[in-house]
Amino acid sequence: MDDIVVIGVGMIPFGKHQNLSIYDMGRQAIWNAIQDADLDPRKIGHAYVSNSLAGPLQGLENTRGQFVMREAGFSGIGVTNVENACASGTNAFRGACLEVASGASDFALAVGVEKMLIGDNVRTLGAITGAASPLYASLGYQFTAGYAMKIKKYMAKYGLSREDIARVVVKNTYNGSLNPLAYQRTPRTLEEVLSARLVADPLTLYMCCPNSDGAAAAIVCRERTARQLTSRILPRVVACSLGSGRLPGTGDTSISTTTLVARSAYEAASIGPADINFVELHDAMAPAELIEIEELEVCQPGEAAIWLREGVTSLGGKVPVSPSGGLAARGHPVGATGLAQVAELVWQLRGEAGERQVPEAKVGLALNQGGRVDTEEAAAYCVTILKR
Amino acid sequence: MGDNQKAASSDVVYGWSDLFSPDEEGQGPALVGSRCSTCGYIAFPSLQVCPTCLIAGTMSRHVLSRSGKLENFSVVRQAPKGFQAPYIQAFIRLPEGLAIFTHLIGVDPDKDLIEIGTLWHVTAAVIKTRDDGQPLTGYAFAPAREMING
Repeated sequence: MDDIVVIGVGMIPFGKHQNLSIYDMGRQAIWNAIQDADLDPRKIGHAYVSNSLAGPLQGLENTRGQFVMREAGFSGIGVTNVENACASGTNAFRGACLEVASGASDFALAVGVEKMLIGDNVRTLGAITGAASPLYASLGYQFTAGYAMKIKKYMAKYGLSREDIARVVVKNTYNGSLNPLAYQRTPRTLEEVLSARLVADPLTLYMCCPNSDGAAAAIVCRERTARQLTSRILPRVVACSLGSGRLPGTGDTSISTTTLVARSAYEAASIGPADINFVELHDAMAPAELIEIEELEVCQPGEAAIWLREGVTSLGGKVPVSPSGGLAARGHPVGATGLAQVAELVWQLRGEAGERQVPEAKVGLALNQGGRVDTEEAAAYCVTILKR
Repeated sequence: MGDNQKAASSDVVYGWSDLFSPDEEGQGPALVGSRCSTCGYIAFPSLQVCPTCLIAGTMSRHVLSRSGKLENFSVVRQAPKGFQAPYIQAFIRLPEGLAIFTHLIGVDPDKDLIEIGTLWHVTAAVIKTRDDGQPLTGYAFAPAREMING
């Protein structure tokens, strides 16, 4: 994928959109992306539409994407529906990239939509549980508790305190407070994070991403096609690698699947983890950030909490992590999150991220993951690298 | 979600008759997986094709060890529909090497000391209440000591 670029991105603020349907949100994000690309929409040859929960929550079990596209004014073009739980968004993006890389379309759109705040939290929670394997789901597997177990193990391994993990939220809610599209825009103090209600030990409420409504979109094409239309900065898609959680005992499970997928992305991009100068993570529970930047090999094992303490991962630091605020601050409308990550990478690389701008942003990486197979691993892992 | 709904409409968890034996060979309840006759790979829930050999037809029914060590746990304080919080979500490591996702029962998450590495024993247990108010049965692990005493 060495000559694929993002020509436009669009998003609506994540949060509670009581009066907007998934179609309204999709339409707005799609048209924001079209306007950002300054593109004749008739040139879009195919759409990849990601959504995870419209089946259980809105009763729309099939061909959701065609309905989303129809409401945005598109009929007739090919639509591919993408569902990969919380990793659906970057999977749709990957599909759009492959669509133009294969030559099947000149321009392809990826849009993610999700509506989770339906006024019935227990039902939403039940729908999210459905992203686990059928057995785990029927046993009431809770993603919060799954993350809690992983984080407990990590804390024990490196002797980390509750303050160490709470500090991630302090950094990310500060970043989120600078992001006009984020759901939670209140910066939290260490004391507030630690004294918040316990959700699943050691995770408190502010460490967990809020359920959210939202939509985000991106339009991709070949670089030479884009260059005929614009002289602006065009972030290049140098990698978009996808993998699935492995069954225990298959292959070397001492290496995490995140690491394997990231290595394949670095290889595709002909770069190393040291070349990454900012990262958007899948921190559905904020402290997972510490584990994830290690698994991406952006820092050394055991180094993440030190980096955090020393400000290396803060906005002004050497490798800012989740400048958008990440999932915990931006909110996590599951099918839209991956495309919000892509939009953030694009805005950062174009130097348009305002108060949360990463200085000298050159190479950005997004980790998106979703679901749970019958192990401690996620079902889908997607690593996207964009380069200026 | 389709599979969830299937489970919710029945009085046992998903795949129950294949994954649980109420009184295996008169020795009490046991979890049932499958084992590859070529490489020895053990799967739970059971698989029909061995994921390491990738040859069809090598897997057959395999009864798992009834006890294992507590590897990790977390107390769930916000429960999905039908589940009663707090409950304990955990992984138990069996001597065969695989980890089983389960609820822990027979302990109070707010009063009892739950220790990593302790021995737990499989049993049938009511996991949740269905939409129609009836109990849904699944498996859970209880402290091994209690099983011996009880």
